[in-house]
Amino acid sequence: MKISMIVNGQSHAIELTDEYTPLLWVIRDILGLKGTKFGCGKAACGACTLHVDGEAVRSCSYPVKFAEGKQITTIEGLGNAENPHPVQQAWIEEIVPQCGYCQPGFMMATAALLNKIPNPTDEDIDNNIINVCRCGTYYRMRKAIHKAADKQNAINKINEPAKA
Amino acid sequence: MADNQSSEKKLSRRKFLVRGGLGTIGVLAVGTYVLRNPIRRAILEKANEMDLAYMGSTDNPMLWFELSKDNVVILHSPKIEMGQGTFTGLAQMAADELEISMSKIKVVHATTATGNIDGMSTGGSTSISGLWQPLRELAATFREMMKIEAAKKLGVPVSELSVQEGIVSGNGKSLTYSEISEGVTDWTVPDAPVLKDISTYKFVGKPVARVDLADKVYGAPMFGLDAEMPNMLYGAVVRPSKIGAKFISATTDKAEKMLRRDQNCK
Repeated sequence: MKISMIVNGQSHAIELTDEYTPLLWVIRDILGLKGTKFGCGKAACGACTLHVDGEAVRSCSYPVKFAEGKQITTIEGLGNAENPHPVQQAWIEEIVPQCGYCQPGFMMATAALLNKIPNPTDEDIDNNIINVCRCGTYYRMRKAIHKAADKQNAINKINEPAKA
Repeated sequence: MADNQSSEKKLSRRKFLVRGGLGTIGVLAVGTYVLRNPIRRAILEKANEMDLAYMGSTDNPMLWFELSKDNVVILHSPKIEMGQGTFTGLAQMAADELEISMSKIKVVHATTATGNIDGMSTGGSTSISGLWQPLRELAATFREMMKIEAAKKLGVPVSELSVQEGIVSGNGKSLTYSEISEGVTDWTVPDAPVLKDISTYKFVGKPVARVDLADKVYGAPMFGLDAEMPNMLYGAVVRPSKIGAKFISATTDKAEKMLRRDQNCK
């Protein structure tokens, strides 16, 4: 069988024997995008979080067949050194990552959250960013999420008049 | 050596750290490493033997330092960075002796295939204390080797040369480390590099930005699970459904037909 999807703006047609292969393995092992991590394998820790049509999805437990025809964004597509996403900028400024393993999942979850709730309260963060970090970077992360929200809102403000 | 005395002090402090430490087998091994001067010397000797390999252009195998064309020194760390800030600490130590700014030093993990292999691994809070002396000596050696070659290329005696920001200058002329290293095949290695006075350090002991953050926010670092070899296959453990089950046989023909990356790439 063949699955078609757009990953970080590039379209792919992937030949698979099992349509229930987790999206994570397709992203990592077939497409070679290693930034999305495997953690628990049961959608509990969030290390594998990426975006499917803008929604944060735990890709270790997401059969690739559901990604048919959809837009996937991974950490590699969120931003880069030349054009960082506000979340990535805030993550650097607040010195969030320690070992870094779980951080792509957290940043993807945060980016999706800010699109839904542009000014998340601490409670919003607690309820929505429920990934796991063994280094314990939560405290800095909370500050970074607020900072990322400010950055994104500032960007949106600049872009608003252009839309109208 | 310039700071023999302070290095003696450091060693005695390390003894204290090890004795007062965790007392496990792992720490004993680390203690052996920290306390045995011959090993430290061996590291330096081995590094010096491999001048050509580690001081060549960026595509050569190397041991500790590598120079890029834009005069960035790439430090191949034998210690693992896992969020504890080791890369930043090593960069501070190296940058001060290399006379180069922190932005001009990039730390990467040494590979076991081509790099400096640290049999004592990373742990026990020994990365900085254990490499404090050898890394600074290596960096100072590198700096002096650059000066010796620069003296030949510029026609200025070594004693009249100074180094700032990875640029060796004297008598109104100057060359970057990168320019100095071009075409050099026979490096002269000074016996005892003179370490700078610690009070003159610009980066050691000062707050600096972490050097490993940028890569981490773009998902770039390689973790164990990210390693990939040609035609690598992926496996998963199939566990029995009952406690105490005994293995008799497994049917693998279906699994053997499953996906391989090289067959599936578009």
